[in-house]
This record gives sequence, C-alpha cells and structure tokens, in this order.
Amino acid sequence: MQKEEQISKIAWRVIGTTESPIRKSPNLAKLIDGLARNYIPDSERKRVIEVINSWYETRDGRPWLAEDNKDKVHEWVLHGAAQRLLEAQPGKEDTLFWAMGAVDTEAALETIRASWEPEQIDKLAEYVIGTLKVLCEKSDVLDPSRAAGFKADRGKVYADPKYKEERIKTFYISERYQPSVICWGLYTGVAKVIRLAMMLRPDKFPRLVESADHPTVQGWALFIVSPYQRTDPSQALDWLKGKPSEPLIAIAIVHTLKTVQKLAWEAEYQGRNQREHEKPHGTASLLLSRLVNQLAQYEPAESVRWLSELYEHRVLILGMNRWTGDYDPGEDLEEHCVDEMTELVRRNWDSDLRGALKSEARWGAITQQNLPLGTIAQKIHIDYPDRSTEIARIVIEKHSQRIGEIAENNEGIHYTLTDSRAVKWMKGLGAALAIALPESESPLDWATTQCSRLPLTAWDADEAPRKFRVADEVAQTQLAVAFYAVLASYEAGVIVEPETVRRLAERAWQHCHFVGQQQAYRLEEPELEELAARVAVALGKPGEEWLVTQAKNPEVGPRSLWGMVDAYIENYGHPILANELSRTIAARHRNSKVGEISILRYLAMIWQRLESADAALETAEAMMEYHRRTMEREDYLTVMSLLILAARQKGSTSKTKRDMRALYDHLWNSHTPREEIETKEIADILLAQKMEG
Amino acid sequence: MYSEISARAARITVMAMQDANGISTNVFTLIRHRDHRSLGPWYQENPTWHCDTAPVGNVGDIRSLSLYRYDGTLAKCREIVKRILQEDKLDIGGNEIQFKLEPQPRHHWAYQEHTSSGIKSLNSPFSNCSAEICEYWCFDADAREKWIATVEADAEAAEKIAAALHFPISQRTDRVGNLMIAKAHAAIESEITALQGNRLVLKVASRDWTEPPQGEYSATIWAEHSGDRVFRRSLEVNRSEAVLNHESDVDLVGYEIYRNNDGECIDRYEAHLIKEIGFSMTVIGQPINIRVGGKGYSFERQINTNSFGSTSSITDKNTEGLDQAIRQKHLEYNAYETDRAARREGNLHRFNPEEVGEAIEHIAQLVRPKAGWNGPVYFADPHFKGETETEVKMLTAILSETYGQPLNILCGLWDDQRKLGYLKSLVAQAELRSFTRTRDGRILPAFHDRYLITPDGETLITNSVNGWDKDGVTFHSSPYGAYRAETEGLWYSGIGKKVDLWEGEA
Repeated sequence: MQKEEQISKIAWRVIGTTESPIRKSPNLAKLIDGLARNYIPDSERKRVIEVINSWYETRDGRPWLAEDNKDKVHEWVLHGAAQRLLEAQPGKEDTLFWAMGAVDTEAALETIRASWEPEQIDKLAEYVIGTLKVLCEKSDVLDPSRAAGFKADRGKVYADPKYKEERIKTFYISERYQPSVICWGLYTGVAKVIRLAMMLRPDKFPRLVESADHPTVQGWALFIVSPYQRTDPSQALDWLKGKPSEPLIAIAIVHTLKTVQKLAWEAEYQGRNQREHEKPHGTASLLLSRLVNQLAQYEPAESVRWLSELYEHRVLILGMNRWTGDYDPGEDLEEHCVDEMTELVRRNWDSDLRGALKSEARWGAITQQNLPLGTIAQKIHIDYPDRSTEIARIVIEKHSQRIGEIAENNEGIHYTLTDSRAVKWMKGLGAALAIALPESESPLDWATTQCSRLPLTAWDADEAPRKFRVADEVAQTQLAVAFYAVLASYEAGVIVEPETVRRLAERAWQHCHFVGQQQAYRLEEPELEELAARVAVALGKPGEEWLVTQAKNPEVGPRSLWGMVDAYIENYGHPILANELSRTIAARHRNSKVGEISILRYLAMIWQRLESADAALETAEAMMEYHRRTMEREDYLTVMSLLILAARQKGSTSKTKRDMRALYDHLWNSHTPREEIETKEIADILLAQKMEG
Repeated sequence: MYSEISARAARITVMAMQDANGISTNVFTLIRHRDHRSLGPWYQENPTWHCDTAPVGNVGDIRSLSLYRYDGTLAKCREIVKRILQEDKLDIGGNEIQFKLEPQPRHHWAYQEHTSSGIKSLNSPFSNCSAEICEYWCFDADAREKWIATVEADAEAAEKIAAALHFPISQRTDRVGNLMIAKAHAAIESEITALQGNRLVLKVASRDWTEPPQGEYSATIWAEHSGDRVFRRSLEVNRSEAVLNHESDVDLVGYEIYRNNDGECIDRYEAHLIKEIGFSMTVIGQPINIRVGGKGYSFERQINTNSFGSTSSITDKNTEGLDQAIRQKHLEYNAYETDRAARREGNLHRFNPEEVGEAIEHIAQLVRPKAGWNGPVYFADPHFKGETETEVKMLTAILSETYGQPLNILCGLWDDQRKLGYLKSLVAQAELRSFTRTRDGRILPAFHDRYLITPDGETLITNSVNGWDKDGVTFHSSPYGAYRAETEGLWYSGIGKKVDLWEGEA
C-alpha cells in the first residue's frame, strides 16, 4: 500500500501535466524525474520512475500511454486525486483537473460512487467548479482547432454578444440541437470533467453556471443535468430566487418551459385516451404562473427584459398551433405575461419602469412574437389614463421606428391575420394607436400620413420593385393597424365617424388595387381587403346602395366584395338589393375565368351567400374548365356546392346533373369525411330526383 | 391638349459627368411621363430637384458622376426640355449641364421584350406598358468616349449611378448624350399567360372600358419551342380575355397589339417561359414570376430573364417524346455554345490533385457574395456525401463564404445518419436535398452533372469533390445560365428529399 501511495502521488501529476492542452508538451523523462525528485523518498525513487516509465511505449519517436496500462493508470490517478482533493485549492492549480479529464469517465464514476466519501465528492465538484471559473476567465476551455469549424476562435460562437442578448434561445438551442457542437468545441478534458462533476453532483449545477461564465460550458453542463432536473418540475424555479445570473435565469426559463411542454403533452395524451387531463394542466399552468410571477419580482428593467424575451421565444419551446386539446400552454403563457406586465405597470410606475418599457422591450421583425404592450395600455386605460397614453405612445413610436427599419432595409413583414397570435399583436397596436392619437387626428389621417411617406408610386414600382414590394407590405400593415384602431375605439366607446371608416376602407382598396396592377397579379388576394370590408360594413353604417356602388368600383377586389357581402348579411341580414348586387358583381367578373383561381373561390363564396344560382353555375363551369389541374379537394367541394345551389334554385339541367355525378364519384368514391356528409346527402337527394324525373 | 398635358405626371432623370474643370456633360437624360392617375393613391407631387453624386477617381478628365431627378407635371417638364433645346444646357441649382442635341427628334416605340437573343431593340422604360419615344440624339463622339472610359475604369460607381437612371446606358453607348422622352402607352394594358394543357390566354384591360371596343384593336400572338415558331395567330381584340389552344409545347411566347385605324403597333411583348410539373406560370413584365402550387403549399418566385438562356419543360403526354428530344438537342447546343464561349473568354481553371487546397479556395471565391446578388447559390454534385476530408473542407468553405446567403446543395444518395450539426452555427440557411432514382433495384443519383450556380453565373465542375484529390478538377465558368432553369425546376419539383442535417444530432 505504501508503494501504491508513492506512485499515486505523482501519477496524477504526470498525467495532468502531459494531458493539459494549454501547457507546452514537457519532456516526459525529465518530468517524471523531476516529480519523483520532489515527491518520492530516495529509497523508492528509482523503482517509482521505472514503474511510471513502463506505462509508456514509444511510437513515432514519442511516448504514448500504452493501451493495456490505461485502466491501471486511471486507478492511480483517481487514488491520488482522492487524497489531493482534500487540500487542493480550486483555481490555484489545474493539474489535477486535466488529470481527471484524462480518465475514462464511466470508470471514474463507478470507482468514485463505490469508494469515495461524500465529502470527497463534494470537494471534487467544488474543485471542478473553481477551476472552471478560472479557465473560463482565461478563455481556456475551447479547443481552437476543434472550434475552428465554428469559424470563430475560442468559442466566439457561444460567447458571441448576440447570443448573450438572446440567452433563452441560446440555451434552448444548445440543449435541443447542439450538444455535440458544444462537446466538439470544448477540450475533451474539460467536457469530461464537467460531465463527471455534474453526474456526481447535479445539485451543483446552479453553482457551476454562476461561476463558469461561458455559454459553451454552461450549455454542456445543462445537457448533462437535464435528465435529473426533469424529475422535479418546480426545481428550476428555485434558481430564479434571489439575484441569479443571466444564464441561470435563462436556463431556469428553458427548463420550466420544457417541463410545461412535457406536462401539456401528457395532458393531451391522457385527455385523448383517459379523459383525465385536469392534473397535468393545472400543474403546467401553475408552473407558468410562478415562472412569470418570479420574473416580475426583479428590478423593472430586468423584469421587462425577461418577460418580453420569454414572450418572444415561447413559440420556440412550446410550439405553435399544435395543441389540439383544451389546453394551449402558449396561450396560457401569453395571458400570464400580459397580466403580470399589467400588474407591474399598475403597482410600480416609476422612471425605471418607464425607461425599461422604452429600452428593454424587444421588438422583433416577427410581429406575433412581440409582447403586446398596446393591450396592456388598453387594460389600464380607465384606471390610469396617463400611464396608458404614455405606453401607447411608446408602442407607436417603437412600431414606427421598426417599420422604418424594415422599409429601409427591405426586410419584409411576415404575418397573417389567420394567425391568432398575429391578430393579438395587431389588436394591441390598434389599441395603442387609438389611445395615442390626438383627438384631432383620425386613424385615416394617420394611415394616410404613414403611407404617403413610402415609396409607393408607379415610379417606385418601375425603378425599385423590391422596395416597392416591401413598401406595400408596410402600407398594408399600417392600414390594418388603423382598422384595428377603429375597432379598439369602438370597444372603448369612442365612435369614429362612419364616413371616415368607409373612406379608410376605400383607401385600403385603392391601395391594394393599385399595387395589384403594378405587380400584374398576386398569389392571394390581400387579407387587408377583407378586413377593410368587414370593418367598413360593421362600423361604417353602409346603405345597400353603397354596397352596389362598391360592387361596381373596379378598385374593389373579389375578396373585398366577399368580406362586404358576408359582413353585411351577418350584421344586417339578407340585403334587399341582393339580386342587383349579384348581377353587378357577376357583370364585372364575367371574364375573370382564366386568371387566379383565388378570384373564383371568393366569387363562389359570394354566390352561395347571396344565393345567386346563375352566377354560381357560371363560376362552377369556369373552375372546372380552366382550373381543374390546380384544384384541391376544397375546390371540388365548392364546385359541388355551387351546382347544388343552381340545381335547387333553377332545377337541374342534364349538364348540371352530369357534372354533379362526375364530381360525386370523384369526391366520394370510397370514403366520405364526416364534415362532408351533409353535402353528400343533399347531392344524393338531388341526384335521386334526377333518377325519378 | 393642355388638359391632357397637365393630367400627366413626369419624372426627369439626368445623368451627367463632371470633368476636372468642373464642366458637366449630359450622359443621358430620360423623361418619362404617364397618366397622373396611374401613379397610385399615395403620390404627392414634389417638384424639386434631387441629386446623387459619386466620385469616379481620376478617370481621364472625368472626376464624378451625378444623377439628378425631378418629379413634376408634363407641362413643367416640357418647359425644361424647351430650355435645353434652346440653350444647349440645363441649370440645376447652379450646376450647369451641357447638352449637344440634334434639333429634330426621332420618334419610335419601345416595347416589353425579354428574350435574350441577338441585339435587342430598346425595352420600354415602363414595367407594365409600352412607350412612345421621342428621342433627341447627340452625335458628339467625345461624350461617348469619355463615358466608355469611365465605365471601364470604375464600373462599380458607373453602374451604381446608372442603375438609378433606369436606362441601360452602359450597354447602349450609342445613346450617350441623348435626351429621351418616353410616354407610357397605357391605353391598353395587356398580359399573356401560359396555362397547362397547351393554352395561352391574352388579357387586355383599360381604365376606359370593361370590354374592348369592337373593331379598334387586333393582335398577333406567337409562340416558339426550341427556336421553332410553333404557333402564330392573329385575332380581333374584342374580349378582355382570349383563350387560344396550341398543339406543341412552348418555351417562348409573344404578342403584338395593333390599333386598327392607323395600323400602329401599340404593344409588343416577348419572353421565355419556364414550365415545370405542377407549376402554373404567368409572364408579365420583367422579371418573370413563377407561381408554384401544390397541396398545402403555394409560393411565388421571381426569375430574372437575363439570367437564363435555356429552359426546361415537361409537356403534355401526347407531344412529350418529340418535345423532349428537341429540347435535349437545344440544350446540347446551348451547352456547346457555353463551352465555346468559356474557352474563348479564358474562363477555365485547372487544378491538379496536389492543388486541392487551391481548388477549394477557388470555389470559395466563386460563392463569395458580391454586391447586388439576389437569390440562392446552388451547388450540385451527384456523388457528394460529405464524408471525405476534401468534401468536408469544401463544404465548410462554401458554407462559410455564403454566410447570410441562401445556399442550396443538390446531391445523390445521402446517408440519413450523416449529420452536420457542427456546421449549423455557421449557416442555418443552407439546405441539402437528395435526388435519387431507382434503376434495376439500384439507387442512383437523379442527375449527372456537377456545377455551381451563383446569381451572376455558372461554373461547370468536371469532377465530383470526392475525386479532386485523385484526378484534379477543372472549373469552367460562364455567365450564360445553361443550368439555372433546370436546377430551379429540379429543386422545386418536390422530387428531392430534404436532408435533415442538423436535427437529431445527439
């Protein structure tokens, strides 16, 4: 045993020195000789030197630790480490660190778990954390040659400021996608020691994150401890208490959201199979509530920053539109964030918070990911009108700034009003605009000023088509915001003049028509057209004559007409002038057969709403004649509905019957989806009548 | 007459070059005018001169180029033209620009034509209509020589300023010194659409009527396939939408519209088509827009007609064999011409097996983004597997260089287990698709050639990357675009399997 002690005294020193990637390679013989001189009594020295030299074999003129000896040597190292750790000073020396990094981790785990005292394990974890702290400070954790694939020396990829600004994203990505990237970038010894320490003491993870401020190291440690943390869903929330560092906050957020995601999946699964989804929902919602609440306890700037970053990246972790059950954790989180921010503004309206709202709230290009501060302004408007106005102005100012950048840099705006999150954001903006505008200025005035500044003339379309295209997107956004402002005003009991609402709609249609002419055709009729129509009809108090006038107006496209007709019937019932309206629209589109199928789709919806049999038949024939190749199942169903309408109103001709039969066979040859059963049954009756007749 | 003039809005752009003595000479002046109503709902008249100037270094006598722009009524612009013709100069805020114009103008038309063969007549300076041109010529050889010297010495500055002129003066040096007045002829707006099922649709529209007045206009429509005229028909324009059936597949369509009372051709258009499975497409103006649609997806793509010289088409069954064979001949001819042109212009770069490093550097330099690039870079190699050292090095090089740019990689069979997660932090915008076919039970690549396509040209690569260190490689660059149409067609055809390079990396 005495002899083993002697060997183990210098075994870890030899291995640690030779395996350290940040030290110059020593001459092995001299190293062993020198260490033996320092640590081994004269009587044992020669033997120990011989034993240690015997571990190595020479290849290509260099000494290599022989494969056969590795297990034995690793035992010596661990044995020596166990002794040394009791007196080792973390951060003062790293030889032991590199020696532990050379040992096979699985074997070391086995040995340590079996024979080390808890105190020794604790010392090991503390030593690793302390040494990592120093190595991180010196940027000595990444292997430049391995990290070269990142095209960034010494781990700039994960130490990059842009990643620091998006901590949540960084740690989500590092855990979800890139453990191997991180591992590849780290020195092998560093990666192995972190693994060893975190496997032995996962509870030390927060300490490691706080000490070793390097995203690559933190990301790797996170990857190691993830399976442990998931066993206790709320443990990560404890890390948020006090004054944790930014990485720890981000990691706690990522962990909590992933736990929530897991619970929501479980709930959905159970909901589908066992109808027992109350508990997981409740736990998930409670976790989200606690998370958001905890983030709101920090200094105002911190709270605003974290809540908006959390809101922005919620989709990344929780997913979007994929929850089919009753519970959507994304929506739940959105509500918690808005409620908590509202409370923050109510209880703590000081200069810090106001400054934070101006500077810390994040404004990305993807609108639906931004925290809807406008909604918060709306929520406090009655109780705190001044605060509400100030927030609304910040929102509009930031929005203008962001829109200006988008137009300047040709970035484009990506949203669709069929996405509930985008609508939420737009409603927030509308609410902010309604609050921020002075009484003398209407949403129409505001939109006109905004659009007139944009490169949106025919000259611009000729000379800078890309800029023109982006300007169109910006203009459509601004006009949509104006419509949402009209709606928000109405909800708040402030009535915008009906004539102003109608004029706003007409301007929107003019714009869409003009852009459509410049771009010759478009993929889809703009959503703005329909929004304008619906708001104009709902709040613009239109008469039926106005409807007919618009139907004649070449600037009012088919989607606008559809929106108008649908909203009119919804708000005021079937129009008395339905026939005239239908004739006018049909006359205008008599030759719109070959162009975009989307035009025919809207016309088809109009005929069904107005119950116009002749026009329905004409559109059905045009769809079958010119668009059969691009038609999807829904289009075939539309044609069937049009034929049914015609047959019911006018009776069936032999051609209608033939077409219906062909469609019937095409659609329902083998299987009828549940939602199509009603249409099929009507077709059955009509086709049976044909048989009888 | 006056009311017509006052109802029109005009834009003047004057491009001038300044010499060392501070004397400015007109390079080209373009005056475009159109119906005031056609400018859009947000147009606001702002009758002041704007100026952009760019220095061009010491190029002979020339020191800088300037572009002046003015928006006003046509009446005001006519006054300006009148003054130029009387005084041979234009004073803009104290800057005097010299003109040397012939007193009699020449009248002609400019249409929308986007074919790339031969020397083209002038294209309309309006994106969606023809133009009646009134052009005052300058026969001063000195101005032309100075301009050519400037372009040759500092092409970047010259192109930057010239781009804002909205007239290709760098290519049309015969026009240097001229003043051109272009009237948008928007009495009729027209477009042609090629539908699947061998049908062409001519659409005409006007602000003044919903259906064309009977007997006022007639049209001639033609179509070509691989250089052969396969369809030509004349008809009266008496409907806003005319559908014409044709027998063969087509890759070029065109039409002319005539005013019957004086026989004047008031609109003309010609452009290449690209057709692929599942695509419907429309050609109107430049660039060409392709709309790609399928179940659950639909998107639009722009293709610059200048960037391709050949097209790929998949036709209706009944003519497929013949059309494909002719197409193949045509492609071979194009490839031969491309090859010949590349050799003539010295665009061959050969690297021996021991020069793999240099070859990688060469390809890295080819994909390095340049000013004005728009669109993805394509790299195609049927045997690329991302396995050998050369492959990994080459891939890393092009991924690094295309950072921030879309990069589309086409390859044959790819091992699904092979992940390149470590590269994702470099370029998330890269996408790799595997194109395979099965023959005799064997999985083979669905394409053969190796090439690189950048927004400004193509490079044929003689060897797959995995063989560079054994056999060397030759790069063969050309600006002609023999592969682009086929590649984009292949890429968006849905045949390729998107390879998940990053996910699942554990």
